[in-house]
Amino acid sequence: MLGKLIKHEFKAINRLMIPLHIGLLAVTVVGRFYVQFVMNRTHIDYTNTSLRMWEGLMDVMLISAYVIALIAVYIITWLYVSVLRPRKNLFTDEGYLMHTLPASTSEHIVSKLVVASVWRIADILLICLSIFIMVVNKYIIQDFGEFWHELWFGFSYIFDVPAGLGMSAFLLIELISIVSSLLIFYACIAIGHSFNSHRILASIGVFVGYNIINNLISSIFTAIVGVGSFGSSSFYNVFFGIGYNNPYVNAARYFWLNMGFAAVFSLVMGAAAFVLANHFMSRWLNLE
Amino acid sequence: MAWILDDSRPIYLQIVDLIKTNIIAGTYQPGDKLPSVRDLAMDASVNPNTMQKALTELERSGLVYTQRTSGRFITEDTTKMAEIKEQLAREQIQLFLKNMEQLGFKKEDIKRLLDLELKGEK
Amino acid sequence: MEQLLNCQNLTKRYGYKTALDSINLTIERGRIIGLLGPNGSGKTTLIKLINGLLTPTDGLLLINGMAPGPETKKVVSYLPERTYFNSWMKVTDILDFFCDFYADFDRNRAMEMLHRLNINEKDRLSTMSKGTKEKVQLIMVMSRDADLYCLDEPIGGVDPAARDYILQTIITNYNERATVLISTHLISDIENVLDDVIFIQNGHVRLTASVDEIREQEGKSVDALFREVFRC
Repeated sequence: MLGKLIKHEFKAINRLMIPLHIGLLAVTVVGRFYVQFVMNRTHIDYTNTSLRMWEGLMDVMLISAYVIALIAVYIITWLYVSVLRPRKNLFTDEGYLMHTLPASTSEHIVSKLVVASVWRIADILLICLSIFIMVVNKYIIQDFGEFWHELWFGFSYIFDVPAGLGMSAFLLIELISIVSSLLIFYACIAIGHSFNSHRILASIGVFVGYNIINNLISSIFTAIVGVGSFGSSSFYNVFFGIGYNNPYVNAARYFWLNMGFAAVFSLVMGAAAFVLANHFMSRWLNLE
Repeated sequence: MAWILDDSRPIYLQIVDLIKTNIIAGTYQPGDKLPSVRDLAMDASVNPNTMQKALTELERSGLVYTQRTSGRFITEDTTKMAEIKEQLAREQIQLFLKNMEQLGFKKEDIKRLLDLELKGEK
Repeated sequence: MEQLLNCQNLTKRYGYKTALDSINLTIERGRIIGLLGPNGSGKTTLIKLINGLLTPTDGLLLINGMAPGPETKKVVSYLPERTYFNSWMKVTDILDFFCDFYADFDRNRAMEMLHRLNINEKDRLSTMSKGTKEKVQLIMVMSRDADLYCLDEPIGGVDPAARDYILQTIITNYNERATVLISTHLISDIENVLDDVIFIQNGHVRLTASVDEIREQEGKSVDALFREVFRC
């Protein structure tokens, strides 16, 4: 049943996501040709200042348009897969069909989660690809090996861990935060739509409430760590391994401490959100 | 055949009467095969359970019989048919007499009026 | 006869408002049942509870002995009062959807009914009239071999020809293992196809009886009795 739900979820979501990202790549290719054209503008008459001004203005406007397009694609994807699609499919008229399928609530949540995560990751990768296509030239390709080499060793130096491990940890933490943030949206929507009226407002209210708590916990954590870092107390030295004379090592430890906390925190929040979304969608479902 | 059903009596009884009338009137010939319950129900726009009940009732009265494999048929027993025809006619007459009594006519008056009416028709 | 649906002290409250108040009800197989009551009497609430779209506040609701869940959803076919398909879907998309999710869905039966109504499988829902969309939805729901069909106001707001089509569809797909529960407030239209009626008012069951019983004992139609019971 989960497989079928995922299949049909992809079918529905792809309808918007594929054209959107084809559009992004099309804009990228066109933009790339324009960049090529600008690069080869050297033969132009430099004494004609008026023309140069217009050209400059044109360049700035087109670059801004490209950046806005990137941001738009990112926001549309984010908003659609994490809020609009799950809300429409599960909490409006379509919910009458979805919730009477022989599937459990958790299967519904997981299917939405898988498809949304895949598209959020694909979106980020495609935006990176777009930027890469835009700026790439033969020097970048030539120097890529060296760049990677430097990144690899620089990473282990700055972050004080083997680069492979650190990068994987970094990607894993990113993944956790994507999945967890999706679940938090689902939970807010599910709780908000259990109300009898003003459901959207209620969902936003729940989300704001969540953010207040989230910020509170984060600031408490930062405060504790911050106090620890300035004090010479051996307590923090022992517990967090902070206090070496090497400032790089200290910074790296802080970094991983914060990242670790963020990962654990979003894991806990994500799990709680899953439980809440599941509970409210099965026990307090209240379709109009 | 028109299935005109009224509101006051159980639907299956009305269907029984309608089919009976049709058999007597010759719309259904002796030995004819009746359509299936589902088709009859569709035709009359009634519930198949109701149609089933009506046909069972007709079987009980002997106007319709079931052959296990091939379906339901109108009886070929003409004496039975005549009997039921007469029964229906008597029911109509009884109804008529009751109505006339309500209007205040005595039996002699009814007879006189009836004779008059029958002569007039000729 | 075998029990299909069983409600014991079934209660549903929304906040302070009681929609269903301690209802006791059993429904058997092989019946066509009218769930009748004025607007806001609790008909839709009961049907939503049967379909697991609401959770009882109190009491018990069992279908084939099971509380509503994925298992009961396999055997209950539900027609809500809403059109629930995405307008971008083609008829074939909907057929695929039902084939994938319901093991008891009979694609050929659905196609036959669609052809009889001259509905093309390549058509998009967005190009159809509201009435046609409702018919497509009814065809999907009735093309399942379910144990219980719940039709919520299937004839509200359709023209007489469409109403006749809906009733014909219900009769044609009737089988003695299944029960059809039709909720409506337009009784005279469907009275002839009903076996039994359940009168519901202010969250209480006022009467359960067979249509024949009502006509025999009261000497009047269910519609007339309904008007009497629910006189304002």
